[in-house]
Amino acid sequence: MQLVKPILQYDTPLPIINKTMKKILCSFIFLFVTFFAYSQQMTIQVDGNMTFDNSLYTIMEAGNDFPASIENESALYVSITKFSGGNYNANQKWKINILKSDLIWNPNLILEVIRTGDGRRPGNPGNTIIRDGTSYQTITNTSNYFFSGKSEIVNIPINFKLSGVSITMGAKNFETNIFLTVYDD
Amino acid sequence: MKKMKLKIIITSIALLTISGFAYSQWGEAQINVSLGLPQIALVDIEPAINNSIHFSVVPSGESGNSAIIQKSSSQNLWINYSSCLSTLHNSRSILAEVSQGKLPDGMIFYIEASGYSGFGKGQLGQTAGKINITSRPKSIITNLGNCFTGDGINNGHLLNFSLEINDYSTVNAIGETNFTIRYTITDN
Repeated sequence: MQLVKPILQYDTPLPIINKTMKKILCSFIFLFVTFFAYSQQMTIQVDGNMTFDNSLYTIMEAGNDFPASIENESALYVSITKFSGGNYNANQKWKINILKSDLIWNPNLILEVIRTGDGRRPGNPGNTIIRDGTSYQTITNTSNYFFSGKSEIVNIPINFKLSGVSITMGAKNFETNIFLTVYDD
Repeated sequence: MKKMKLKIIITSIALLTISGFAYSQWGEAQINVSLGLPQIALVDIEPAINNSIHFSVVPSGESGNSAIIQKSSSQNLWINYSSCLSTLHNSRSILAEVSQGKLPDGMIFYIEASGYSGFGKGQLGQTAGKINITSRPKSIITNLGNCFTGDGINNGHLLNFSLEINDYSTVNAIGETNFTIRYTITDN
């Protein structure tokens, strides 16, 4: 009779976490927590679309050019609200930058934007804390500061003005996309 | 080994801090802006208060000489226009024709548009020279593109009018006769 000796298998032992490794891990954890705290606190939404209808570009008297500048007839509304699922600081400050990206555009066309109101706090009475953007500023193809505020604000009205339109551009359609970006301030 | 670990820690912190700042952008919204410029074709005669031109045909003081035609009104008329073309068309012309009334027998009526002057912009038209105006439309200004002349007198093209007798055998002594000239801007 032959005795079978049982073979015992051992897993590879776990690496020992030394003091330095602990420091590295702690740094990672701390920074990830910080990162998530910063990420996606606020979100931005714009209601409305904007078309400078060609009925705005009429000429009543032969010899004239199109009107020097035209403002869009109805305001668009910007809302800055907390991001669902994210950490939210009620006193969070934010800022909005604006830029445009042209699809079909003419370099002589000048698009300007203005904030025409302060919006309101969602569900809460009281004044909003919002500043800047109350005089027309030209929207360029590089990101520029527009306005800033604190906490959630909804229905902030903004208006656009288009100038530089000329009959010499011909009967064409022009199109550009405007990007509003909310940042931590 | 210690130095290596320290380097790793510092690099990790730096990288994550940079990432944190890069991701401080929270959200973005997009607005589409569009505009469409319509086709425009407008023409007008200025000063528009009274665009009448008067000619008088008087006998010469000396027998045997031809009759004298005098332009009795000294008012200068200017043609203004605004033109915005689609890409399908290259240029436009301005036509003139006798639209009402009839030229007296034996006479020819001419219009000559001067070269452009004024505060307009774009591809402004060119004069077609001295044109015999009849009931059939003829170009007096050609090759105008996307442009505007400016509004009012001293903008656009000054119009020069002249009347000539070409066939004395058919000229009759008539009283006052009137005819109207119509100007039309048209695609080529």
